Amino acid sequence: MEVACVLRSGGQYDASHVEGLKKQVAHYMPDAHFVCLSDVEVPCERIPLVTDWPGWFAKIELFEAFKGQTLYLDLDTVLVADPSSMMNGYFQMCRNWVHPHLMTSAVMAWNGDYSHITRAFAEVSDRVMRDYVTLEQWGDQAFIAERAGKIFCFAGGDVISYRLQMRDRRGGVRMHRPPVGAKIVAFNASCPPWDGPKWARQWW
Amino acid sequence: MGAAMVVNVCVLRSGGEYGPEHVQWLARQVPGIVCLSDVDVPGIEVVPLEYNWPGWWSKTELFSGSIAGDLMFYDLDTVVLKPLEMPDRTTVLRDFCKPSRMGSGLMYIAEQDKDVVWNAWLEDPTGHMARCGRRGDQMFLDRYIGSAQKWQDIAAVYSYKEHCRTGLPADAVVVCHHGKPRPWQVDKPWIPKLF
Repeated sequence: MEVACVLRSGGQYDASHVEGLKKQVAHYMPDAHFVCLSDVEVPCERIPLVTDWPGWFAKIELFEAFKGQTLYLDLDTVLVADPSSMMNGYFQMCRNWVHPHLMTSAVMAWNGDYSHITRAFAEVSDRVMRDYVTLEQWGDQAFIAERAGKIFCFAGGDVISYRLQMRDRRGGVRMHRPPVGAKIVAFNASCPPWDGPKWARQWW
Repeated sequence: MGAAMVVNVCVLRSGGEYGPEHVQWLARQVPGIVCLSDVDVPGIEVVPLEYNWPGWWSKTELFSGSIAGDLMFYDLDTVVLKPLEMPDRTTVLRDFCKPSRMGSGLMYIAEQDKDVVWNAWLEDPTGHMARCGRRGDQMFLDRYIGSAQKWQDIAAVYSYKEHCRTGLPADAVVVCHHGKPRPWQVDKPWIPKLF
């Protein structure tokens, strides 16, 4: 199995964040092949980004580069168990934790050739990058969800949100440890794992 | 253009021969499957059944809309060997014993087909259960989705009793047990153990 991440330089992420994710994958998925799609050097095997799609839109290159059983992880996700058992062979995304009819691309899995998504985006990239700025149609994840075909969501307890499920509305702690059964905890830009609780920041 | 979301789902009504262990057994073959149930199933996302219809009649709640999106439903005694290719429309079984009837052990339920079934069911659940008797939910569903596409026409879906007694067909994707013996009562290398 391949575990993929994406680093587009110039934003808030850098190669040190790839290093943290690499350590987690080596710990929980020792047989997996960890690869980063990036436009800069990274401390692991690298596939160069070939477009200039900015920020999270660079993730759409994943489907041209990976056509076998693949697990994609955002750089600000934290593994807390081996996630292999949550993959069902279909195209999978995270259900938005607040708006369950929408998909999130923080964690994705697929097994097969979905490069039609990349090709479709190449034809309409300017329009999508301009227009996909609403709640219902937000960024790369909305485009991927529209074009992937049938999408299965990861089970609710497998991928959890640190901000929305482990903290309360005022930012206080609701859960000190990820719940039993959770495999991945998704953080976000305003609260990255390297500034988070010890069980998360230990990897950086 | 929205997302075409599909949810793998099963149903467990407590008090019969099935328990949480059978849901967990199926979930090892279908990762992430959601269970409509009246009891908790450790490690599985459970959506509560809203009504108290007994046994297989609880399967009618698949059509209630309590789980949004298209549904890929598996009976709890289904052996899933490989991922089924998802169809583009509602798909049901052709009854393995009586081919003029439909089977409800493996169903792809398209979102747009839920309402007609659910509305008809809610008009008279007690009457439907009385009229269908031992033929169960399949007889009720036959009137509404019995003419849908059949799994056997698009995928290598087999019956254990009809096709697998002397060996598993090489192309098998799903094996339905539809009655005794249940998968956990049979010792075959291709059937996962219950525990």
